[in-house]
Amino acid sequence: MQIKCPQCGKKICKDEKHDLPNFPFCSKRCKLVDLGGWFDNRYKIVSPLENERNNNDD
Amino acid sequence: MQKNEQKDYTAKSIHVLKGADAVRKRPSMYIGSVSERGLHQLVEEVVANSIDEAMAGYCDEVNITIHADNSVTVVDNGRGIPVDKHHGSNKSAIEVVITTLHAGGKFDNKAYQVAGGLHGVGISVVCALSEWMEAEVSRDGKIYSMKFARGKATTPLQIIGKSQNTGTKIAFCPDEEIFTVTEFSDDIIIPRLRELAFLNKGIKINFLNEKTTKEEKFFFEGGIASFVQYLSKNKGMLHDKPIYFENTKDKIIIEFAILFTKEYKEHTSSFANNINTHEGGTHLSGFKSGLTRAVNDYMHKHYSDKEIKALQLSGDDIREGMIGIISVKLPEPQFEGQTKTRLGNSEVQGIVSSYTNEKLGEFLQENPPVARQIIEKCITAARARDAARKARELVRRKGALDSATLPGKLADCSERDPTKTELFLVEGDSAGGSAKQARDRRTQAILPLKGKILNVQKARMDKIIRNEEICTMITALGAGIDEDFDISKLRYGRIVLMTDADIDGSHIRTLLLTFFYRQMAPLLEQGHIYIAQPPLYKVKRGKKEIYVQNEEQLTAFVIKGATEGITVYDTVKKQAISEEKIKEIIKILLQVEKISPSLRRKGLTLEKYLKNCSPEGKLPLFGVKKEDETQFFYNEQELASFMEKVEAEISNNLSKTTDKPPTSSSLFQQADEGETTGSKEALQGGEENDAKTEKQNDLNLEPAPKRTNIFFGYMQAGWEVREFTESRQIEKIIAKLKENGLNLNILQSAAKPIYRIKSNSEEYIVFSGIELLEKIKELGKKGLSIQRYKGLGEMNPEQLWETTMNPEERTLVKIRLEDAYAADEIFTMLMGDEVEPRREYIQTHALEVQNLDV
Repeated sequence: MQIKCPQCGKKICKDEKHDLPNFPFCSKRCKLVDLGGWFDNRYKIVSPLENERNNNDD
Repeated sequence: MQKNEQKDYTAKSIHVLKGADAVRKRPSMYIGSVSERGLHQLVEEVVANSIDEAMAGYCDEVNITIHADNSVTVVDNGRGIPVDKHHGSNKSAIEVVITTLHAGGKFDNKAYQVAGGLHGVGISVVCALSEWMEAEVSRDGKIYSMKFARGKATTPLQIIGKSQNTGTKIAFCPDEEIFTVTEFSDDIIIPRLRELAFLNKGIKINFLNEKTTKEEKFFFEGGIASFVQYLSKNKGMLHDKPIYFENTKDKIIIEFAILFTKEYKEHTSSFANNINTHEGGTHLSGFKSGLTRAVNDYMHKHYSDKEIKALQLSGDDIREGMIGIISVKLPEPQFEGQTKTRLGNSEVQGIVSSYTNEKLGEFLQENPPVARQIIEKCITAARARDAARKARELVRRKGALDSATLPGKLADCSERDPTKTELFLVEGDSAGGSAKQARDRRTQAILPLKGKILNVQKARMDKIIRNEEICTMITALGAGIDEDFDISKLRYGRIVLMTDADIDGSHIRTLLLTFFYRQMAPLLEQGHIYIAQPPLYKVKRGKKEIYVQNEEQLTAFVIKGATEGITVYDTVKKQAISEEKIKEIIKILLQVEKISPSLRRKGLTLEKYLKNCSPEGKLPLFGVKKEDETQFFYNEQELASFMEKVEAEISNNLSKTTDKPPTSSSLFQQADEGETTGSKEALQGGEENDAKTEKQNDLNLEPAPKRTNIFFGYMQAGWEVREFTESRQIEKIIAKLKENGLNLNILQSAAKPIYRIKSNSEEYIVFSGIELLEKIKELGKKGLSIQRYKGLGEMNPEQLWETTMNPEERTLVKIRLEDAYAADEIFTMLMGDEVEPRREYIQTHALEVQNLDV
């Protein structure tokens, strides 16, 4: 499985051959920065209000 | 390199420091080992002599050849080892140099200002450990030769010829009595030779292994600037040219090269007199401190932002992603440390530091674009490091994520065996309350979670899961986080996400899955994460009550009820249709129904789409719309040739500098002159259509996504190109209809009724298959009560248990790693600041994907 590091976008490969201790990140640093993001309330989902209404009416 | 002309290199330069050698007795003391490493050290020692000649400015080429018998020849074009009589003995200088330990021209800094050879033990040690050695010196117009074996001369110095050139040739064969390994390895020698060529710019180093036929030629005019470029291969670079400076300060030659990459790994190497100082030393610390100072000074001077001004970049922040090399050459290097690879000369630190600071400062000053790139990278690195530090602190803080004290919000189960337990992560407090009442207290635990809405602005709304919720969840799961994460401590075998079946619910689910994927991937890999499937409807017919999960199930239920009590007559064939056949027809019609919305989004009804078939009956694959007219195409070529005309028209208009884009009519006329006349008829045919649909869907194409780049220009000029991917599905439907003795006609309104439906005592007639489906649905819904659940909170605890939580009845969907990866991608699209890619994503996928659920 070819994936992208969610933090820096670097492409990494996950399979039997590649042992990735920081999966799905490329590095310890990226994983920690991401964790910091969760603790820092940095991750949010932004939704346009119009869409919201339309979808609720379905 | 400058020559130190005034200094003689004659017998006078050679000093004897120690008597006869005991090298053969304790070879490891001199060359480290008698295995591979020691063997290669022999080559290193001989080559070092040639390099020293080069550093003194007398040599620019060294050839190294490994022969089939494991002997080695090293040839340089330096001054040649002195052959005159040495003042301290009766021997020639060359014999003294080769046979006497600690003899050489490097001890008084006169013949050589700086030297890399290891303390002058060099060649005499090699000779002592060689079965044989031959030295050939070209000097003073003559060629001299002398032979040695195991540290002793075997022939006197002889003149064997004439030569206009100068140089030294040393050939030797490592003694098998000493070495346990005698095979030379290209993989060890070549990288070191490359390194030496980088460290001594302008020198040619040629290598040939006659055994393996491996050949290398190294020559780097850029020196260590070329070295950093070489090391940065395949890494995204922040700037093209390495930052490189070189000068001599207080008799120390200082050279440094820096290149910043987009990676995170730092790669800094330091060298002193060509020796790789793995343990660092004063030159490295000077280089680092000068670098840190220069970058911080520049940032504070040139950035007015308060926050940035207050920032103090650490050396680690600055060196993140940096490839740097510091190389010094100095007269009397002091090597310290375990492997003698730390430079100890204390005076070096200050000199290197101020030189680095001065030159790098100047560079940043003179190259503002590069400077800005570097500073921005450093600031990002500093912030990332800060985020990581905070995360680590929170994880370490005693008790914060410790599962010894379970969160108050958690309603835990009594069972302790994780293979039997499950944790429901429930959206919202009220649904959490119902779930707490509904659950099986023995095995089911409930943790209510809330998505928090932040920051509702005019057109957008931001939703997050607050850090408290994240911490609560980590604590409840009990497996820790980051380095402390240990899946064996997981307190529940199943973690079930239970969220509302609306867009909020799907957002919270996406956030949670993203978190698990990123920070607790093993949970997904080992299949611990599930999604609950609360029903969307409760349907009641008479006393029968069922819950259905989605629209499709609802439709199936409605139709099943309807077909049981009706009879359908085919009014054309004048016969009743069997129940089996009706079910078959309805199945096909349901597929047709599924296609309609996507066509409608493209501005067409199915009827209208079908009317635009080519005269040969081909389905349209593309539609091109300009203002109110649409032209249809039946293959790529037709479309491409039409677009060429459009392009010509656009560029024509542009050259006339009129702002007005081409009119659609003129182009359609051009196109009509070509082969595609069928569509024009089709368009006209459309006008005769049912007036009602005409008004609603009058080819009002919504803004189309860009199909490919080639269409970009047309998009700007108001052209819209649309691909009808539905054609494939429609072809399948046509085939199915054929199997059942039907054709497309039943999808379009006929002039006369085609079916008669009898239900109880009532009779209905319909003019098309679509109408048939509508009628059957309508009949099926009679006597049904349908309740739609918008949220978990609308169900009472009994209903919640029955439909969603009861292990006997419910369905759970196991989330695989791949699913979570998709969630992460969606999350990346839906999150925050980068609005552009998100909008593009929604636009491109809106037509195919009806909602962004996972």
